Amino acid sequence: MRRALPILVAALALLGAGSLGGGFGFTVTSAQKLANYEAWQQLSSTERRELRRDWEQVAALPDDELDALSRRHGALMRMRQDYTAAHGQPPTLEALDAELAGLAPRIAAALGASTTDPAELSRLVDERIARALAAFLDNLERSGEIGTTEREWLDSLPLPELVQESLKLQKRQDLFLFVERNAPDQGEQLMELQELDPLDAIDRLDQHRRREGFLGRAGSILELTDAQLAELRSSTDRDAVRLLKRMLKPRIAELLAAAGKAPEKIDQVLRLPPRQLERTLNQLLREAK
Amino acid sequence: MNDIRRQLLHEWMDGTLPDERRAEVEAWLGEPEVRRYVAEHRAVWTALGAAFVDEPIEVSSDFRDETVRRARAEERRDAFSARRFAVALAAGLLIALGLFSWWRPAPAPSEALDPGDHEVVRHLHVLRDLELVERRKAELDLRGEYDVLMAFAGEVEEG
Repeated sequence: MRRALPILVAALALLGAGSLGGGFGFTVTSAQKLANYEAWQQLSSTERRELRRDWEQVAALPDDELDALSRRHGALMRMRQDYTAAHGQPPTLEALDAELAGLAPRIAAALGASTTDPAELSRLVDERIARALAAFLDNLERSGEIGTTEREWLDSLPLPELVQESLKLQKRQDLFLFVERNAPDQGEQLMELQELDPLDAIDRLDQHRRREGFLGRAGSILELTDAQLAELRSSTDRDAVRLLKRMLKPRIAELLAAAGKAPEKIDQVLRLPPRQLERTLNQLLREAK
Repeated sequence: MNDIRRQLLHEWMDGTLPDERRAEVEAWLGEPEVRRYVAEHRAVWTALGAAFVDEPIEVSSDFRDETVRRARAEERRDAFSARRFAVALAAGLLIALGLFSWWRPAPAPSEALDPGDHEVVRHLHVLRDLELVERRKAELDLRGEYDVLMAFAGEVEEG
């Protein structure tokens, strides 16, 4: 039974609907528009005719099918981004097809599940999302990022809207940390990130962690060795911030001790979940300045 | 070009820049990098039919007034030097010629789009993936859900 799946699908559809551009549920960034325009100039009249026919069919789809197409294409675009970041060049459609063919076993392995049945995996993923969402809101409330009133409002939302609002909150948190790092070329990247759907922006910033380490001020201080960078980039674990915590734990302890933090405080910080650790380190470094 | 400049240029191109900032932003248009940026965006936006104030780049009256005021002040300072005045005049003419050459409407895109093709081109990347998306629906649904999980997975400590 896939009781939770329709809820999540509805949440993702809401996300797509929230970012409508041009009357359809596809977010198209300025860079993508430019790339499309340039690609169009290279096409033959036969290819253009076929594409016009395809568009007529897409534009005539009922809203729910258009939302589903938009949601699935968003997932494909994130796969394409991840592949490009990992391999240094964009994948062919055949390579993406191969990635998709092996997706269920990979997710099953990551979840420690004994099944590769997509419906059963969806149920497991949904259960974990519900747990992680509750932890996210607890973390933000405990650190004062959201107040009691906002928490109550979020708790009152149906799950699809809660997922949608939480993704927006997470994007805001990640963008704040990204800006805090104050990298030389961040202005241009920030504008591009702001254009993206929350899920796409969060995924893009996770790739950033994989290249540069923690987001936020901690990233500038806790520089990674070549070996650590290589491990981070070659890891198939999608949870880069967890890997970073594991790799940098001893250095974080040293840093906090050098800043005069008591051993109990250091233990308390190191016990934080990876994303909350990243936020807390940023806050501590802010206060220390 | 920094992001603040870029943001203001976008507001200027959109026609939403407050009047009091127009002269400042238009002064940047003398820089080749800025002109190139504006021309590129304009060509694409026009081609794709996006919201854009599709007018030739014009100088605001504030900018014109300020330029004339500065030129007159310069003229007064150099009033007793005919030679310097001649040089200033020649330079002014050169500048005017230069401004005239780029304050023309931005060049048209290499090929203007048929209005009926705007949406096709806007969604070209989607159309090229259609067959794969259709064939791998179940996997892409699973991937989308897993992406949501990954957005929050680091909020929970393991074990």
